[in-house]
Amino acid sequence: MEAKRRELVPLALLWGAGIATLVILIVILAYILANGLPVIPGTF
Amino acid sequence: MLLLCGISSVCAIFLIITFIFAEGLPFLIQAGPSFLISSVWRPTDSFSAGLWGIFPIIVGSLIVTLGAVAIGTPLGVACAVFLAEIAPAPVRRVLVPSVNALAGVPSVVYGFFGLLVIVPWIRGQFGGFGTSVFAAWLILFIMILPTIISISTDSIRAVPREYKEGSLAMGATRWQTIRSVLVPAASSGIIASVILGMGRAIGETMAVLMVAGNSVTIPDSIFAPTSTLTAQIALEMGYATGAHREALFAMGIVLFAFIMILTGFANLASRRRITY
Repeated sequence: MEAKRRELVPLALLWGAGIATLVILIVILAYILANGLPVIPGTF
Repeated sequence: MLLLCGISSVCAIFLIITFIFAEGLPFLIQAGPSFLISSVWRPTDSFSAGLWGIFPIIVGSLIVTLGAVAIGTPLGVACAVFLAEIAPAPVRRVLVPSVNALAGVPSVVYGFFGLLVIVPWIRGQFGGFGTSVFAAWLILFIMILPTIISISTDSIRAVPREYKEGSLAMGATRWQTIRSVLVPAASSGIIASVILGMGRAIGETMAVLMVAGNSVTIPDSIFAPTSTLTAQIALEMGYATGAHREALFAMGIVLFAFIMILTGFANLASRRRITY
C-alpha cells in the first residue's frame, strides 16, 4: 500500500507531461484555426 | 539506379559543403581568431578586423539552444515514457498523431504564434519589448518536443520485453521498472533524441528570427533580446556584398561545425548499449 502511494506522484507527473503536450498542441492549432479560418472565405 | 540515387545525394551534400567552405574559409583565415572572440559586429563599417566579431551571436545561439533543450528535455522524455508505458490505448491514439502533427507545423507558423501570443504575454508580464531569449526558449522548446518524444518513445519501446517482465516478476513496481530498467536501457536512444533536438534548435531560423529580437549583444537577462547564427545569416544575406557576404558564409561554417559536433555526439550516444 505504501509503495503504491509512493508511485502515485511520479505516475501523476508522467500523466501531466502527456496532457501538457496535448494542451500545447491544441492551443497552437486552435489559435491558428481560430484566426485563420474566418479570413479565408473573404480573401480567396 | 539506386546506387546512382545514393551517389547523387552524397554529391549534392558534398557540393553544398564545398561551396560554403570555398566562400567562407578565406575570410575565416584572414579574420583569424578575432572573428570568433570579438564582440563588435558592424558589417557595414568594415575598416577594422575587430568589427567582424561574432562572439555575441555564438553566445546567443548557445543560450537559446541550451535553454530550449533544458525546458524541452524533461517534458519530452516524460511524455515519451507516458506514451510508451502508461498511456491507455485511446489516449495514445490521440497523442501520437498529435505529436506528429506538431512536427509538421512549419517553423514560420510557430514564429507567427510566438510573435502574436508569447511576445505580448512576456511584454505584459515581465516588461521590456517581449522579443527576448525567453520568447525564443518557449518557441524552440515546443519545436523540439516532437523530435525528443518520437525518438525517445521508439527507443523505450525497443527495450526487450524480457527486461520489463523480469523486473515486474522480481517484485518491482511499475515506476521502479520504468526508472531503474526501461529508461536506463533506452538511455542511448533518449540521449540521441535530446542531441538531435539540440541540433534542430541550433539550426532553427525563422521562428527565432521572429521572436528573439535580433540584437547582436550578449543578453544580460533572459528578457533581453539576442541574436543567433542562423537568424543573423537570414537577416543579412539579402543585402550583403563583398567581405560582409564572406563573413556570413564564415558564420555558416561555424554553424556547420556546431552541427557536426552535435551529430557526432548523437552517433556516439546511439552506439552505446546498456546490457544486463
